[in-house]
Amino acid sequence: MCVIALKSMTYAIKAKKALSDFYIDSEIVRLEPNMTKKGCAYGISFNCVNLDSAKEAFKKWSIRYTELIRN
Amino acid sequence: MIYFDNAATTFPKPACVTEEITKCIKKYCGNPGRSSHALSIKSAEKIFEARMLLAELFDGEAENVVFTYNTTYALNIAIKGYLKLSSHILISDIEHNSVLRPINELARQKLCTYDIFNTNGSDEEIIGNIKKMIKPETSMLVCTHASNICSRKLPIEKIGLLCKEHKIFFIVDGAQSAGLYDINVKSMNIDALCLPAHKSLYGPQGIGAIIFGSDKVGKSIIEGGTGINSLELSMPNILPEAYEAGTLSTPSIAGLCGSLKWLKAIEIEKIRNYEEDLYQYLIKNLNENDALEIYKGSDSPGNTLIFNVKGLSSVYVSSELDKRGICTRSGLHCAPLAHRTLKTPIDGAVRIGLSVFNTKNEINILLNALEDIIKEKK
Repeated sequence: MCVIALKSMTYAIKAKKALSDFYIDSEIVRLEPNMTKKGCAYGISFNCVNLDSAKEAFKKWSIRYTELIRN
Repeated sequence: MIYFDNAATTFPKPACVTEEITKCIKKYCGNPGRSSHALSIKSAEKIFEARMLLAELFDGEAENVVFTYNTTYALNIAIKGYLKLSSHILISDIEHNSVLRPINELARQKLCTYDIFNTNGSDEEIIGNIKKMIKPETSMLVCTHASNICSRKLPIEKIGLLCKEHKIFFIVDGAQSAGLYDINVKSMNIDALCLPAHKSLYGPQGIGAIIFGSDKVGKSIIEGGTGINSLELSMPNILPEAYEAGTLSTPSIAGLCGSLKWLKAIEIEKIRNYEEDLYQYLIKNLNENDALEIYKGSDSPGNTLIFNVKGLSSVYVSSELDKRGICTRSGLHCAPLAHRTLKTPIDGAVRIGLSVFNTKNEINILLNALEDIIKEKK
């Protein structure tokens, strides 16, 4: 699975809507402490098969993400 | 009971508001933005839905919508968060205390200076008045869109353009106009639009919002938990969390979601036309009564007006109307500056605030009640 780290829950919800707009299933997740230096952060998890489409969705919805993590 | 105190808060609310609030409390009211379990996510999704609906209605971006307790909090955050120290601020002569008091307090602390521009006249005259008062150090202009005591509206599109030309941060108090008149944050060059849920948006009390024109974050005003960046000692430097410390009222925001969808279905233009028609009917009939003094403030229609019965205090008249089952509001309406501009007496006036739920028949009952009160005092 791919997880994209986002700035806040607001952006995580927006990302979920953006992915849904592109018919990509996703789930909002809390990031593990080793994934964030600032503490308490959210990300969106989805199948890496959809990574290119996800990037396109984020571009269309003007979502800037901080990090891409592949599990 | 007949309710004409809609300028203070609209009543009743559409049934869907109650339904949304009840559904939220019964079915999913987790803490939004604090966890990743199903109920927390569901609450966060509902809040984001409200941000999207507000952004759509006011031509903003969902992530730049900040929720507050009410318009006063929204204005305080926008004014104090984006104030440039030792700069100059302009406000209008029809401002509510929610604008006048925070700015006067900043001036009292010698953090800024401010001047008040005259709003009597045409749009061009108002713009001319503002131009004359702009100084090199003017960094902010705060004004209401629509007065809370009369039908006067300020040309915020033209003021926004002027502010853009002079790089002045433009804050609009949309307390009386949001949901009734068109406001476009982007095209009107508004930097911060402050509004309540509980007036012409027909949502619940206890929720207000700021719709920022950009994602630029100013100084933090209230610090606390945000559910993100918890190891940092400062507030996150991103909207909306930078100004949303503490838990939001998910049930109230859910209720606002309901009312925004209701407004969208009805269309605010139809509501505006209906209320302005009621206003014209009301003012025409009040004008025919020589015992009344009406303080119009503008020839254009609106949904709010103030008047007095000659020789009687506004408190007495409002109280007599209340005895007859009619809710109005007397006094200064937290807007002594606006009252001074309209030259009302020291104890203010009686205010009638209309909503989409009022009718001409209710206005007829009000007119008859006023006749009774006048006759009784003769």
